[in-house]
Amino acid sequence: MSGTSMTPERLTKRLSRIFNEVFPSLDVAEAPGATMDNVAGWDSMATIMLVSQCEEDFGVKIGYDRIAETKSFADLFKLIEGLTR
Amino acid sequence: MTQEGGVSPAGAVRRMLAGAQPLKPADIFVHGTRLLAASQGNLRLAIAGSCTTDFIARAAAVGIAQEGFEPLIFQAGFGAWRQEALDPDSALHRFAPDLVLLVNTWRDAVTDLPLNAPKAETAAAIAARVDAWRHIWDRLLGAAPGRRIIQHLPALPAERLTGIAEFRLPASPAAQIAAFRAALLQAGPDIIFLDTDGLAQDSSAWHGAKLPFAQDGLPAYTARFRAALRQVTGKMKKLLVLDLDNTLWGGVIGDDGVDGLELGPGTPRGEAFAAFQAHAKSLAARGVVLAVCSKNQPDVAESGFTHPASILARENFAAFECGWEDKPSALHRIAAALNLGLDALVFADDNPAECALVREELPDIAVVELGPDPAAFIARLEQGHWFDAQSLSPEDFSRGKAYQARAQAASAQTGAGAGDLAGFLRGLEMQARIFTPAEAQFARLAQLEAKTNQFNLTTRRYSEPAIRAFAASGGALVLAATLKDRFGDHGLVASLIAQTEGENFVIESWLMSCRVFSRTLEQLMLRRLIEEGRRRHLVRLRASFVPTAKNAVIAGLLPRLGFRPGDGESVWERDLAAPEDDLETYIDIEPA
Repeated sequence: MSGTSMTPERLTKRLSRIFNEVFPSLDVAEAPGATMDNVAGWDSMATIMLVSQCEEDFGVKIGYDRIAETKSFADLFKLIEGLTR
Repeated sequence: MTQEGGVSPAGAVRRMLAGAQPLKPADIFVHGTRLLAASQGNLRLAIAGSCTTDFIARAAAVGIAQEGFEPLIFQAGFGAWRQEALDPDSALHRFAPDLVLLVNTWRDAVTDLPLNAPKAETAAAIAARVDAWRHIWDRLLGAAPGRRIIQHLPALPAERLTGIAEFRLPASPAAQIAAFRAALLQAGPDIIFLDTDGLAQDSSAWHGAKLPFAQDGLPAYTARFRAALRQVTGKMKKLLVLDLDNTLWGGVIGDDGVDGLELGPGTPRGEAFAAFQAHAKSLAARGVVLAVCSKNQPDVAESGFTHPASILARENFAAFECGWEDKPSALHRIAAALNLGLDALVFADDNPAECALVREELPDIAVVELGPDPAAFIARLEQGHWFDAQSLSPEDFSRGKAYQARAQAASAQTGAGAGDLAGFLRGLEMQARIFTPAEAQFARLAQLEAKTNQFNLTTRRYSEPAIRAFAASGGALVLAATLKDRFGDHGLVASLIAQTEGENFVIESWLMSCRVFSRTLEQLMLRRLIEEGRRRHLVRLRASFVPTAKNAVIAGLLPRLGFRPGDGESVWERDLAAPEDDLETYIDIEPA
């Protein structure tokens, strides 16, 4: 399954909204700089939540085997970009 | 486990989520994470299982908050559910939970047997597994009186092994799981089961994170958990309140008339409305009480149930609130009329504005927004698992009839003249037995004393030993009454205690279940009391009515029964010499 391709700006916007849903204290504007180190409460459970939200929102299958390597907004961005291209 | 008001973390979550319909997985994650950080609570839940329980813990925390409690949650180490339960000194036992949630999957139910293993071998393996399980439950329950267990009931794996053949092979995973489920239910009458069937299993989520079901199943899981939790807290939903226009039929009856309604065969929408009516009727048949809350002219609204395709009838509803007032006020009246708390109500309406208003004004009521598509109504209602039961009793199956009779009585009294009421009462073909109670009935009499709020003349609430003492005393009289009608046997529904004081026969207590109030059982019991008083050569009956917040329904009872004001405040008297012709009753004495 793959979604329709989208601009990097649009992907950033949608992914930022997902980050804000999972971390309400993280401002949408700050989301693109988010990493496991600089966001309070970002643990492996939060990564699972992010991944499952992205799967639903973008209509892609990321797979839970990628969780260990997903440590920042940029990591997720790259994963989704690859899956929706 | 007491309910708490005020602004607590759980209270804040409850309010925030009240408008979120339906819940989203991210809501559960965010609010659940916050609630898990709490350091105190009034409902201590320990979670142990054979998989990752972190998301289940968040869903449970949100569910507990939504049910009005403050969660304090402990999660046992990953996969350590057996050790934690069996070791009396484990962290789980030290946490001293009120409630234990055991999170298992089908993998815990299946014994590795050859696919063609004989039936007896499979049955023995399942029996051994269930015995071990029972032992685990007993260790958890035995450690603390009052503790309860919610046990996940494993569902079949998503994939079939050999198609239909799998179900014919006793040792196949599917056959083992089916047999295990049945055996576990059998072994745990004291356990509350949470069925995981229907929560989508995701092999990636299992292998990658040991999640028992896909993350988008979290809202559905939360609803199931809440249903299980209500079995523990006793805050069961009892009443389904339904809108009429575009809920029980298509169209607006005031504008379109009965003939213009969309209901029954002919159109897909009409069929869907009829299916929803049939669903409500099945709920009623197993004990859910139905009521109507609609903005309509009452007589016009009732005429909708004369539609040839209507499956529900007017008498299926215990309360029928039609008018132009706001729905929160009408819902208050319905709850009061049926003597139920608002938290026992589920309100279903197609109109989002009405739903929003009720959610806002009466947060204790569960609101089901049915939406515009009648084909989705049953699913919308059932996704809340509001009326899920662990088992049903004979009372559940007869409750509908009792309320139906009560509703008929009420409509006969208010809708038509006294002539109709007499006809109605006669038509009930009632038979009563009035007797001095024996040993076996004292517990029930004490229960009536404790539970009866409405028809309770003095609210003195005598205990079982006190009732026994009256019965043993020569100067006192204890009467009990049972009532049957053509709808069924109501059982022991009324009691009366009178005491001789000089030449007076004084009523110390008079109680009647509200189901049978106004059926002229009052008159029949009083006739019996008069007879007994004359036999004792007494002069008059004396009674006092002690008003409370709930017994206003019998405020006029004594004058209606021919009592006149006597000496002293709220003291009423009736001469025993006076003829009892005024005490008209439609109840026959049951032949012995």
